[in-house]
Parts: sequence; C-alpha cells; structure tokens
Amino acid sequence: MSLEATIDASIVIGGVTKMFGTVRALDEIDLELGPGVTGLLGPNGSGKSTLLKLVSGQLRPDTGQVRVFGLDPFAQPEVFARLGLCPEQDKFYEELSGEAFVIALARLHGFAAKEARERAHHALARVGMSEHMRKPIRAMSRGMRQRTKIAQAIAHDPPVVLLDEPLTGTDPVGRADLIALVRTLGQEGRCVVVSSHVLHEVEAMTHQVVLVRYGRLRAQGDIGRLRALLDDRPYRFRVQVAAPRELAAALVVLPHVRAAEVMGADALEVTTTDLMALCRALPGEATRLGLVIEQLGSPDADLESLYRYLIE
Amino acid sequence: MKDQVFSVGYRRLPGERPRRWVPWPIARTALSLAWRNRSTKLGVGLCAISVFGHGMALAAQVLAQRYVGEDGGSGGAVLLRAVVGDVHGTLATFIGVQMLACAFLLAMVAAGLVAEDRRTGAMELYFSRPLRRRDYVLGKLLAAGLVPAVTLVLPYALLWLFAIGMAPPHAAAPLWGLLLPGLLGAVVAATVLTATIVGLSAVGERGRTVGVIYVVGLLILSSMGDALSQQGQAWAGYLSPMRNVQTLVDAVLDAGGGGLLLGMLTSRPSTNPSTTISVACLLGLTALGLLTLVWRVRKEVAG
Repeated sequence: MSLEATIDASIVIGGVTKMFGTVRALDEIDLELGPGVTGLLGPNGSGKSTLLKLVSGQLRPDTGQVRVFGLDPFAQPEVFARLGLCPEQDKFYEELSGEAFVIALARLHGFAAKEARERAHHALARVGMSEHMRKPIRAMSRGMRQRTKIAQAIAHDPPVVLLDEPLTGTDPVGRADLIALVRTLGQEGRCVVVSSHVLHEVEAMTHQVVLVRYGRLRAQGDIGRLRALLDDRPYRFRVQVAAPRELAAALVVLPHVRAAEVMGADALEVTTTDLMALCRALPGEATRLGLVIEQLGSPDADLESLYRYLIE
Repeated sequence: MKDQVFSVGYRRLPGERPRRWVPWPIARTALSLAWRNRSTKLGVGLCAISVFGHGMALAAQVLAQRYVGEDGGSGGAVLLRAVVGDVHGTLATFIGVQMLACAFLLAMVAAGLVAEDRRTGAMELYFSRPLRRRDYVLGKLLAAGLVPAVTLVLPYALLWLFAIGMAPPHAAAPLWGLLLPGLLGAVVAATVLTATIVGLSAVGERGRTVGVIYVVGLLILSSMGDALSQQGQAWAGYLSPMRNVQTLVDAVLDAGGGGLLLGMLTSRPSTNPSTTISVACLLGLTALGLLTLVWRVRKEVAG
C-alpha cells in the first residue's frame, strides 16, 4: 500500500487478529483512523492496549494488516519517527528528572543535544510541566508522571499520537488542561488515539469513538450518529414542566413517541424513537398548552448510554 | 516540481532527518542514571584506590631501579627488588586486581541495563522510537564497556606512562614493549566483563539481583578454580574468568609477579597452565554474553 493511497487515513487496520496463547485479544478488527482525536473505548481486557501496541509496532498481528501512513509499523523505524506513544505504565527511570527523561527519548529520534533540549522544554511547557521538570520522576505525583509521559510522546512533533489512559491519576485542573491539549493536538491535524475507560473524559476530548469488547469492534464513529443507529434502543427524554400530565397527553399521540411517564409533580419522561422530531414538536405543544419548560435533557443520548447499550 | 506528501490538508509529514548515531544517547542515559547512585561512586572510589596503590608500587619500583643501577646492585639492592617487585609484575597484577574492582563497579552500573528496561517497560518506549535492535544492543554495550575502558584500560595506559616517564634510561627500554601486550590484556578483560554483565542483565529480572549474582558468581568461580586447582584438578581453573585473564596477561607481559609488597596489599589471581585454553574460555564467555543479549532483545521485540 502506498503512502498516497492512505492519505485520508493515517492508520488503517484490516482484518487484524491477535492471539496470546489461546486467548484471542483482537478478533478481525477493521478500522480506519484519520486526523483528529479518536477515543478508543472498552472495558479492561477488551483489547485496547493490544490495539495500540499493534499500531505502535510493538506487536505483530497474527492475521490481517496494520498500516500507519501506508507502512507496516512493526519494527519499522520510518514509522516510529512519525509516531508518539504514551504507554499505560509509568515506572520508568525513576532517578532521572522529567527534563532529562524527555531529552533522552527525544535524542533517540536523531535530534542533536541542543535541539532535543529545546523540543523537550517546549513539550514540557505544553503539558504544564515547566515548573517541575527538574524534579526526579520518583518524586513526581501520578499526574506529573502522566504529563511527562505525554511530553515525551509529543516532543518530536509526531503526526500520530497514541495515548494509553493519559488522564489516569491527574487532578481535576490538570485533567482539564490535558483534555484541552489533546483537543488542540487533534485540531492541529494530528491523528490522536486516546484509549480510556473514563467515558466523560473521552467525551470531553472528542465525539469520534471506537468501541471494542472481547477483542471485537462494537462500533466506530460519531457518538450522536452511533446513538441514532440504535433503533431498538429508544431515547429517554426528561422534561421539567409545571403540568406534566397535560404535556404527556399531548405528546403520547405523536407517532414517534412510544411512552410518556409522569415522574412526580413537575417532571415527565418521554420515550421516543426520533429524538430530533421530539425536540422539534416539544416547543409547539408546550406553547399550545401555555406551559413553560423549565428544564429538559436526554439522559441517554450521551457516550455513557451508548457505551452501556453496546458494551455492557 | 518535486512531489510532496502531506497527511491531510496542511500538515506536512516529517521528512527524513539526518540520522545520528543513537547508541550514544542510550549509553549516556544509562551512565547518567548510574552516576546518581551512591554505590556507583563508591565503586569508582574503589577502582581509584586500586589505581593509586599500583601507582605507588610502580613509583617504588622505579625508584628502586634508580637506586640499584644498571649493573644489578649489591645484595641489599637485590633484596629491595624482591620486596617491591618489578614493573612487569605490577602492571600484570594491576589488570588482574583491577578486573575484580571493575566487576564490582560494573555490578552497580550495568547490572540493570537490560533487566530494568524490561521490568519497567522502558523497552516499549525505546522501541517506539526510530531505533533498530542493533542500536539498542550497541548502546547498552557501550554503556557497560565504558566502565572498564575508563577504570581498567585507560589507567593501565596511564600507569605505563607513569612508569616509563619516571624510569631511568637503562630501565625504560624494556618497558616500551609492555604497552601493547598490556593493553591487549586489559581490553580482553574489559570485553569479557562487559559481555558477561550485559548478557546476565538480559536474562535477569532486577538489576540489583543481577549485580549480586554477577559478583558472587565471579568470586565463587575464582575460589572454586583456585581450590580445585590446588587439589590437582587443573581444569577447574579455566572456569574462573579472573584466572583466565591473569593467565593471558602474565603470558603477554612475560611477568613473574608483583613482588612481596604488592602481594601483601592485593590478592592477585592465580594462573592456569595453558594460555590457549584460557583465551578460548574467555572468548567463549564473551560470545555467550553477547549471544544472550542479542537473543533477549530479539525476543523482546519479536511481536
């Protein structure tokens, strides 16, 4: 496969199966990932890390092909030059400072000492570690170690960045900063793959997700569109209004509304197969009845419900 | 116009940049890590003491030669010579003794080179870089090899320079022939030490355990070799790398011994009857260490 052929997809995975002894870690995975942030989701042991290891050339698939910019990444230095990996484990050279650690790894990309230092400083500044970069890694908090790991992954300015559980152990402020950084990396045109099982964090980074379970691909695409594809799982829509019974009676006659359940004195939960149609109809019905909608929202149109329906 | 490939839209793929020699950054990181360890500094101190002691012995020998003169001297001068020994013997003893000190230092510096990379997962980080297996192997060998190069090979050259610089003209002439054979012995000792520690590190799980096994193993092999050889089992002497190196060094330097003074201060390894077998054993040990390292690295990145 040529580089030009895969210009729209930085990472192409075709029919990949990976076995560990008798355990099938990945089973016939087909995937194409382009620029932007993609969340790789799945429970523990679902094959997320194996998938990242295949893309980062640490493992070789038993069957199928993995291509990064059209090249097989396994033991392929040309691919590694374009790839930044932030692995899950964080027990590295404990005695080195964060700065020395990032410089040492940047130098393996062939940078001269001065350039490696400049790049390391820039990367550490991007992850908010400038102040603590001279601290030995052993004295760093979990969050600082995560940031340092991310810094080493982006120091050489790679177009593909693979982040395995990047937010583990970070404090709320640090998490928000890292989420913003990941989004920025995606906006810069990089292909960023973030593996995680913390759904709201992934949702804050991207709406593009890949769901895997038991080594099989369960879904791939935009969260909203994927949710819309689940016809057998109608949306629940909650409306807070002064007269829920009247509104329920008005809505239940609509063709896409399956049920309307009054939840106490001022709330109503509507079950619909077409969320957009309900959203269009609701203001009109409320106005007709002279009601003021105080609050509304769908508790199962987010990533968490999508994940629940597809994975659990 | 030259065709250029972009990822998507505006972002240009990084082109080939001039490839630098990456084993050095790998070795530098390993040595920088080791230097932060207090026990490494202790090991360096031990090696420095050994160099200093042999330097003092050489100074005494050269001064004795000045006193004895060209004709061989009186009975007192002969006795003095027996006590302080000769330069050949001291330089040969230096390599044997320094090899042991160097083994201690290597156990602290190089025992975790591969073992700790495997344990901590640093290997995954290394091999997600544009790095070939041979770069990694060379980097680790370079890190380990620099230790005996600086504490064994270089001090030998300096001691020789010191001896020849101080020696009277009649005593300096025979010393010229000691440089290259001595350096050969020192390089062989350094190579054996480097290959064995890195090979052992490649199969070990923790650096500290590897270090202890390495030093204890060398001491046990030496003691066993000495004890069994004394009981007439000459073959056992070839199991000891220390004895093999000393045999080679004594042969190439044509040295008899370090004299009574140095004999009291240091424990000089004994020698084996056959230099050829000793050299074969050293080559075998080096090859084993290197093959173990290569095998492990291949296995780790076999996918």
